[in-house]
Amino acid sequence: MITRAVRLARAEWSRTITQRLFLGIAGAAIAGVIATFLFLRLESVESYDVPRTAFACFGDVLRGSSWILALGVFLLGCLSMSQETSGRTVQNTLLLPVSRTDVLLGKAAALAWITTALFVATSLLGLALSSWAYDFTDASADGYVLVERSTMVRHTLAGWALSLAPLIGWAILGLALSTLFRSLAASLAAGGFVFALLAASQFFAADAPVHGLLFVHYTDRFFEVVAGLAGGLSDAFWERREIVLGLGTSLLSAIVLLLLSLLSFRRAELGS
Amino acid sequence: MIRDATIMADPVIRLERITKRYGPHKAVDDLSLSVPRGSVFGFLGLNGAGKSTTIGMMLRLLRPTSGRIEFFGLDLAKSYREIAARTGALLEQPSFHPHLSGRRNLEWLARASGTYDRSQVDAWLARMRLGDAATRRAGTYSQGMRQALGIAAAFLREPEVVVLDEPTNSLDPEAVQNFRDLVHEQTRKRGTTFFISSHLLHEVETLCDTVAILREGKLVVAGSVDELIEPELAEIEARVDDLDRAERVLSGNGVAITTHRTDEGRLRIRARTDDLAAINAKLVRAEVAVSEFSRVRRTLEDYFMTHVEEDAS
Repeated sequence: MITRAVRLARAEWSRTITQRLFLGIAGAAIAGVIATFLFLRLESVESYDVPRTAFACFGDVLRGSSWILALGVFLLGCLSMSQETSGRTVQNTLLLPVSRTDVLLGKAAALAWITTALFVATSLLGLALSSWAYDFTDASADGYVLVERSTMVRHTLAGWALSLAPLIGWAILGLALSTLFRSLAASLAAGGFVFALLAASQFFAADAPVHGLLFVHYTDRFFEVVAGLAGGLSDAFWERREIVLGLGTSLLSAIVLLLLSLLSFRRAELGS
Repeated sequence: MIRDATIMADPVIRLERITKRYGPHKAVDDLSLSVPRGSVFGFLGLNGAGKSTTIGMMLRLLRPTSGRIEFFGLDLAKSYREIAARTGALLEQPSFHPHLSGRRNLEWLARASGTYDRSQVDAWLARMRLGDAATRRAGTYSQGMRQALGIAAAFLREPEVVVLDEPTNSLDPEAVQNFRDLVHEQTRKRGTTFFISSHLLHEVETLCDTVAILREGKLVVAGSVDELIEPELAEIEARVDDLDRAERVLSGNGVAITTHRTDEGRLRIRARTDDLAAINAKLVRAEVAVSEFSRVRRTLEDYFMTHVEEDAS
């Protein structure tokens, strides 16, 4: 099953539309990184409570692009199945010696791969800009505990890697909507509504006990952690609870959404 | 005339009491069929008869409400991948990724099924006369070219069974001839079994050796084309000098025949094939001048009009 899903994921990537969307999202995310970086540079250094380090800058610029990435991969997910169902090309795929589970897992794998590629590309640019503008020094400030560079490197890398999980959650949420609604227009409309609702719940009710789907809360939370930590916050801030909740809700959401999609896709009538 | 289509030696496809319901409406009703290995099987019916629904179920795009479908003796519900690996198919009005070229579309399908071979892709593009258009985006293809690309896609994995839904739709006469040649070539060289759905009766008569006719989701008849269009009772049209006398002679000859006059003033005689020579001799002996005595060649269309459309009306 894994071999077939990987094969289908590679075939999915070979579609020009997927590649074009990838480039579009990458362009938007890179623009977001550069815009955030320029904003940080233009803002007076004195306005910060803590001295800015390369780690803090890295976290901040990635935070700036996190919602662009989330929206991009969510859109890609929304299009992935509905576009094929509307255009009836999914039927051609189903005539191949593959099961519907293979097709769906192939799409999920392609989305995860594309999300990772976008995330890494954006991160590399953020890292390059941050290291060019700031030093990788230890950070300390009044009221804050000194954070050693080695700790910052370790935690920044951990936070960075964990930040991928909510993004994959967004992509799979898009795929789930796409599979449930099937029609291109309906899935885009539903996608727009769901994204607006979840993003609003994050921005306007961030302290509410329930943030819709919890992984949404972590879309930029890990970046925030990276930025906060690297900015001189103590180790105590980097609570294990954050990691477990963020990673756990992201993965659990992705699995539940995939199962729902699978249930819907396996039962779908796709006659001409 | 409904014949039992289930008793057949070495069936490669077997539909066993398939029913597909949409609410109270039965699109396919208790359909049983067997397709013999190496045959070219025509699946006929008026629009809305349930042909595409049946094909949709055979290709696992639709789920039967009840019944069982077998390919190569394997249950479709349990062994889909194994069956699909040995089966090629063309859906009615096939769709392709419009932004990919014809070649890339075929490559995409070949890669996804794990059977990519560039020479094979090129060979099928050339075979379907799409070599010159291979690098053009499929979105710019005419309907006929898309159909040809769909046929190429169906043969890409060198299947043992090919299921085709309205394969000659939108093809120009040259492409239709090319398709017929392809079917004959594949049947002769590789023993490929074809299941072809169509409402083009002449096309089916030319291509197929066995047919099944569907009406309102139910099987009307299944059998060999020869059996259907050359039945035991043959029809003869005779030009005679005295119609009344000829009818009198034939009505009293002890042979089970029926006669009626045509609008053109000829006598149409329906009788057993074996009795035709005797009938001719009888007329001549009774001194009825027979200036023409010709067998009416029936076509599948005649059969269809008589047994399906008349029944329906």
